[in-house]
Amino acid sequence: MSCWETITAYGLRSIGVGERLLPKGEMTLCEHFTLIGSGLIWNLYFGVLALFFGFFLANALALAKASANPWLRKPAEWFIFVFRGSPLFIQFFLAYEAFVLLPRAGIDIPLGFITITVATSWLSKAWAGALIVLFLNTAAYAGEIFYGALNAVPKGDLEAADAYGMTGWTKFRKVVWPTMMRLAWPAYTNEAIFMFHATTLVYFSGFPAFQQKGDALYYATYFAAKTFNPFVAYPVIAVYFILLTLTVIGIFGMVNRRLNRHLPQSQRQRIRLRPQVIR
Amino acid sequence: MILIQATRFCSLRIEDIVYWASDLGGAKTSQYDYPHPDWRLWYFIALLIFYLLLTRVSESVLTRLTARLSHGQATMAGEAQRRAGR
Repeated sequence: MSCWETITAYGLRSIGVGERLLPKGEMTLCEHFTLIGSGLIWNLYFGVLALFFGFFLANALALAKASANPWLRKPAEWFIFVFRGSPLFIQFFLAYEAFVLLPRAGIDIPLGFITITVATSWLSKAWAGALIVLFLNTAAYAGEIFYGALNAVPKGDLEAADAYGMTGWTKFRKVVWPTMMRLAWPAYTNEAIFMFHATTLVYFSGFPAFQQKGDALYYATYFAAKTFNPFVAYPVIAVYFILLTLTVIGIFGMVNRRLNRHLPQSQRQRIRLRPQVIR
Repeated sequence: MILIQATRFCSLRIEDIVYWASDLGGAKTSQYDYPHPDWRLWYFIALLIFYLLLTRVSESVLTRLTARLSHGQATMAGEAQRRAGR
């Protein structure tokens, strides 16, 4: 099979398009790159959606945690504590067990004259169940980051806003929130990178892959198990994830430049790739 | 905190607490056929509590450190401390 044929057959394998049987005989670099790259679709799906929805919940959590009202503060604190304090793979495992416990046929909700059946089986599938876990997890981490940034908003900015006569929502939207985002952004970039790395855990613990439709690590493990050679499959997935990280840094760097555009040139902080050799 | 949790991933080859939880908890492994049913759920819940307690300890230390560091700073946190009269 030529490389182009492999790409057409397995390029979208992870979402069920193309050849059903995974390659058995010859496994060249082309097969590795194609199939692991096709698995990367799932990593992108989980990462992008969880980050997008998590961003909004994280903002709400940060504000709730900073609020003086204990009815808002305590739930936010507990939420952040639970999701930040437990390892992600345990969350996956427990969420999967909980979703499996739900009746497969759905839950009937009688509303007097009509009965609504809420379907629950989709929750135990990875595309929804794991996404919910990742969404809650990233919301908790990002919520704490935003909360920290909110606490670090300079007093001078707030006094300036007061001097302009801004109050309430206007003050928050024009002064507090942009500054909070600006301060939180480098740490949030970090969280986004971690998030994409965490997506590899989905099929690794808890959620099963149906019809061998898995993510990048799933296929990498498949190749490593079939060829008995982990030194090809895992570097391939590493290359993909380095590229993904560089993309994330690029996109978040653009947002960072926009958030910092009002600052004088010398004070601007750029998000740079600083490879950590020692950790 | 992330570091404590990440210690688990050193152990995909080394047999740590989570390895034993998923191994002993399962009803059947490659080596043994345990006479008990699937206990993994309970093992993992116990682990969850263990990790949460660990987080509690580290969080209390970090909260104290944060309060100390933001004392007198010209930020929202420092201002809130000043208002509270601490």
